[in-house]
Parts: sequence; C-alpha cells; structure tokens
Amino acid sequence: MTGRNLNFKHRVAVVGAGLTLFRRRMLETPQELAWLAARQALDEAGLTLKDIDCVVIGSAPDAFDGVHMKGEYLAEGAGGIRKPVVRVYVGGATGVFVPIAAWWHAASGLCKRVLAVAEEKMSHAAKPHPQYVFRYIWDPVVERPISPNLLWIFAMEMHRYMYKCNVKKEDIALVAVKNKRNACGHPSAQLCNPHIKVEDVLNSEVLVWPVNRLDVSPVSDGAAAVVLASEEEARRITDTPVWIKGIGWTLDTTHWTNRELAYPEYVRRAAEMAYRMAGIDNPRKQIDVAEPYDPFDYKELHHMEGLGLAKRCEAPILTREGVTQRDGDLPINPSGGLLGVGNPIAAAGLMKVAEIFWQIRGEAGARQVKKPVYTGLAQAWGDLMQAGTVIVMGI
Amino acid sequence: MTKPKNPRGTPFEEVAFPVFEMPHVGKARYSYAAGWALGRFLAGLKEGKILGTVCKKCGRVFIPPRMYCSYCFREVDEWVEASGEGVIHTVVASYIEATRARAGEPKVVGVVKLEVPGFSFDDHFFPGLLHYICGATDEDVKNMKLFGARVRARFKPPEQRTGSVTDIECFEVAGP
Amino acid sequence: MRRVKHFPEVMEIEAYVYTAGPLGAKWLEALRAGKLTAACCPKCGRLFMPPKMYCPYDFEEVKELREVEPLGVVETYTVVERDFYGRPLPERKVLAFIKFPGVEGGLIHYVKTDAPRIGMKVRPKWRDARSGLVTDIEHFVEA
Repeated sequence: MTGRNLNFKHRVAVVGAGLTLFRRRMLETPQELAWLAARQALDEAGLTLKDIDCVVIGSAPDAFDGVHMKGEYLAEGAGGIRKPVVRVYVGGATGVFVPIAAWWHAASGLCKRVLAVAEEKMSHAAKPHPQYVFRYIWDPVVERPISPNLLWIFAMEMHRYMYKCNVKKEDIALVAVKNKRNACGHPSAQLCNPHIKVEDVLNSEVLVWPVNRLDVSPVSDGAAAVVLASEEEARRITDTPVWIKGIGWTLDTTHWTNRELAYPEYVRRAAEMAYRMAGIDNPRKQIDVAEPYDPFDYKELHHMEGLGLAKRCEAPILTREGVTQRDGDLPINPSGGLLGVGNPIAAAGLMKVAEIFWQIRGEAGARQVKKPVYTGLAQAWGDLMQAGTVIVMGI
Repeated sequence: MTKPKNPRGTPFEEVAFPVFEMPHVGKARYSYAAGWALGRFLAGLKEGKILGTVCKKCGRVFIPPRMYCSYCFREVDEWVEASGEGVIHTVVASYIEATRARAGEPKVVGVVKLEVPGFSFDDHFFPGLLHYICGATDEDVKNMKLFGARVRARFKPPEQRTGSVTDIECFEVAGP
Repeated sequence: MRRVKHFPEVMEIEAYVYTAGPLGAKWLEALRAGKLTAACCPKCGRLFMPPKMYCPYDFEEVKELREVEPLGVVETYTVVERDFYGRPLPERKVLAFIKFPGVEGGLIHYVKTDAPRIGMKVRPKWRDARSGLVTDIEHFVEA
C-alpha cells in the first residue's frame, strides 16, 4: 500500500467520535470525562471496549489537572488498562496529534481498532487562575524574569500580522463573530452567542493590546474521543468510514524572538507533509471544509495562510467576503472552533477532527455546510509558537 | 441529526462541596542550570554587554546565544557583541499581570531585532530579545507607529546588575 | 571567561481545586453520614472503592452505591516514622491498604495499633464532626 512518498500496510478510517460538554468547570473527574467521550465514540461505532486493541491518550500539561503522569492516570477512563497505551503531547497540537499517532498503530498493522482520547481539566488549577500555569512555558533564564503573561506572545504575533498584512482589528473580530455564532449549532458549545457583533468584540476588556477578551478562547474542561480502524475492520463496522488521507506534523524552536511572526512556517511544513501524502497540490480548491486552530481570532487567519488555503495576507479578505461562512465556498470552522465551542487544551483539536468526521458523513445537522463535502482538514497548533499538526480526511 | 448527540458532563459554577483545595505544601524551588551559552550571556549582561554566538557555516547569529547551531547541528564558532541598538519587530501594551490580575500601569513590551556590527539580518532569522520598551505609551502602540522604530538598550547601574536579562532595564525608543 | 552557573526560580500555582465527580460526591456524602459504600456496576456486579462513574472492565455507566459492612482486612501496611520533610514524627504511624470483602480496591488509611500484621481485621473509628472527606474516619482499629 502506498501513498505518495510513503509506504504503509493498511488504509485507516475514522469510524466513530464522541464529545463531552465543554464548560468552564465540570464536576466529573478527569478519568470520568475521558470515559464519557470514549463511551460515546464507541457507541457510535457500535463497538465495546473488548473490541479495542490499542489506546492513544492525549492530554496537555499535567499542571492543569494537577496530577502527574496524567496520561497514565487517564488510562482507565480511556479504556486503556491491560492494553498497549501511549500518551502523546505537543501542547495544543495534541488534539490532532492523537489521531495521527493512532494512525501509526493501525496503518502499521500492529492494531486493528484504536481508541484515541483527549481530555483536559483546566479548572483544577484554580488559584490564582489556570492562565498562571502558562508561566512555566517560558524560558526560565531569559524570559521568565520579565514576568510575561502568555497573552503577550499572542498579542505580539497578532500585532505583527496586522502590521505586515495591513489588517485592522475589525477585520479580525469578524472571525470571533463568525465562530461564536457558528457554535450555536454545536451541542457541546460553551460560548454560543447568536447575536454577537464586531462592536462587542472591540468593546470587550482590553487584555494586552491588540487582544481583547472576546478575541480569546475560554478556559475549559472537556474531553473528546475518536475510534480508528484499519480498512478491513472499518468496512465491517460502518458503511461510511472516513478515510485518513494525509497526516503531517512539524516542530519549530522555542526561540520565537528570532523569527518573523507574521507567517507560521511550521504549519506550512506540516501541511505540506499531509498534502503530499494525500495527493493534494491545490488545497484552496481540493479541500472542501477546514478546521484550523483558532485559540485567538487572528490565529484562524494566520493558519489559513500557513495551510495554503489563502495566499499570504489574503485570509482577512476571504473572511470579509463571506467565503469562510458555512454557506461559503471554503467554510472554515463550521463547528464554532475554540472561540465558540471551548478550549480544553488537548481535547479542542480532537473536537475539530470529530467535526470534519461528521461533516463528511453529513451528520453535522445544524452545522452542516452547504456545499458537498468530500475532503476535509483539521489542524492544531501548540507549545511556545512551535508545533503544527495537520490531518486530511475524506471519502 | 446533529452530532454530537447529547454530549454529557456536569457543569457547575462554584460549589463549596465537594471540592478539595490543595494548597501548595512548600513551593517547588528550582535551580536551573544556565548552561554553557546562557551562562556567558548572563555574565556579559552583568558587564553591560549583549553577547551572541555565530555559526560560520550558515552565517546565523544567535541571541539569546546557543552552544550549537540548531540548523547545521554543529558547535558554534565564536562570540560576538551586539551594539545595544536595534529596531522594534513587534510591540504590544499589556494591561494584565502574569497572574491575570489587572496591572496598575500598562506595560509596553516587544521583540527587539538587535544589530551586530559586521552582520546584517533580514526578517526571516535574526537575533532578537523580548523586553520592555520605554519611552513609548500604549497610545503609541495602538497607532502602530512603533514598528521599525529604533531603540537602544538602557542598562541598570553596575551595582544593581545581577546577571539576568533584567540587568537591561528596558529598550529605549531613540528620539525622532 | 566568567559564567553564571545557576538561575533560581520558583514554580507555583497557589492552590488546586479538585472535584470528586458526580458519584464521588455521593460517596463522600455517605461518609459524612457515617456509612462506608462502594460503587456497583450494573453489568458485571463488581463493587469498586473508591467509586467511579464507569466500570473499567465493561465501560458501563455506574450510578449505584451499595453500603459495605465496615469490616476490612489489612492487605499490606507500612510504618511511617518521618514526616514529609524528613523530620522524625512524634509518634509512629501505621499506614495500611485495607480491603473489604467482595470489593475491588479499598482504602489507604491509618491503623492505630502497636502490632500491625497482614490479615488483621479492622473497623473504622468515625469522627464526631464529619465533613465529607476520607478523614471523616479518624483511623482504623483492630476489630
């Protein structure tokens, strides 16, 4: 079996997905959250725990849930006891890295049916605020003495993007408006707001200019899960498996003060890896729907360009023209993204993968995009402006 | 049918029971090894100098300095000293502290692209530092005039320097 | 060539706030009422302590708590002589893993005894003022 540039044993498909609610604080323990999502994914696939042979778990810093070795802690709730289990972690990019790692398990022939689970409980790091955990991400020697807040780095990237591409805050706020409205069709959404306008975003509390409160995704608890199966198994499980056509992932350095911030080079490379495998050379035309990572509204634009879905500095124009709405020519984040559904760090990316899965199957209901969907893409981003993970799925 | 069907979970606002507050029993105190390159960098800051390393193979200059060139994957060749001047690559005004509490005064911070005599850099890869920008207000940040502005490092007086990036008090915007 | 060798820093989150989960909350309320309970899986009938809202074997949802006879058996124990910082404790403490017949899992708790042994039968000594924590049981004593 070959894809371009790649030799592997089995084609792999996604056959089920599950999500919990995404909210600021959830009562369930981290394992219970993982179980809720995993169970829903198994039910959708018509499988039981006995049918699963391997488990992949993704979860972001242990410092959020406040339990060390969080992957192992979650294993039981993710169905991963007495089985091969692996935890993967690339910060926010984890959510898309989890199905990538699950793909390795199935494509190699090592496993037949893989359960991939991502969970995050940020509310545990309660005092002073979960955002304080991000304090540990900075270089201890040259950055921490300045006491930076993580929002600074995003504000700097956003401001540089605005400068290089001549974009105003109003244009960027359109993304927050689109996503928070889109989220109203999502049963798990934390921040659905059907009436939100650009003025609301621009008038919200200024945190670090140019970032306002409504430009940022919320702190959330939540979990997501998908079930992957190799070709033979997938066809037995469902009539509509969604094939994984391409995967890509790239890491850059943490020395973010040494590079041009207006363009995410590492996302471009991850996307190229996935496109090469999927046989895509014109992503703008060949991708029908995309879920790029949007922890901030400008990030959706930034990533659209890194993914090649828009030319450099073209993404705000496409947004303004309505091309990225659900009824547009290139729907972007029909789920409502992180801005609308929520941002439990690792689970958020997997929520996007689940969205593409349901869109391709025509099961997104109120969120289903207007145009027919054959190929979709989900992308996540993480760490200190470093990691890009991309997955291309289709039928 | 709209998927996900009936997502589960029990959200709550603030409850008194049963939540377990686990205050820190003694803070974890870390003593980070500064390393071969940053060790010299910090000593240089104490002397009032901004030092960097050079890989002669690709021509890159690293500030903050590294011991190895991450691109050629070989040891760096020599040390250089930056002039202390640079231009603003990007800048923001922060109204919040690291703890998310509101700050008393807006802080202007940014990435400074540094100048090293004998070298020139494009925007793709350059020696740069995160630091406070002084001589600029949050209004200057908002009207986007600071991009590309020339700045110069202002060091603290020698007796106040400890061997840290805070030995530089800020990068001061040069006059018009 | 001078070098700065170390760079001190502190990593602190001031406090974590954990939740017990929906079934865990009921288990703690039962403790507050002076009862020891275990979660019961509707499919395989296994009893679990501490409780969780799913059965790790069948992956079924678990909603029921059943009262358990508070007569446990010491499965294993250790004698603790020093505190968290290495200072000697005023009094030695016996920390044991206590299992209850028919229940998977058990409790980690202190046993007040001078002669601990594996297989010792123990009963909980409840505090008068309880607040819904594992420490509502002050310690276990030989039954």
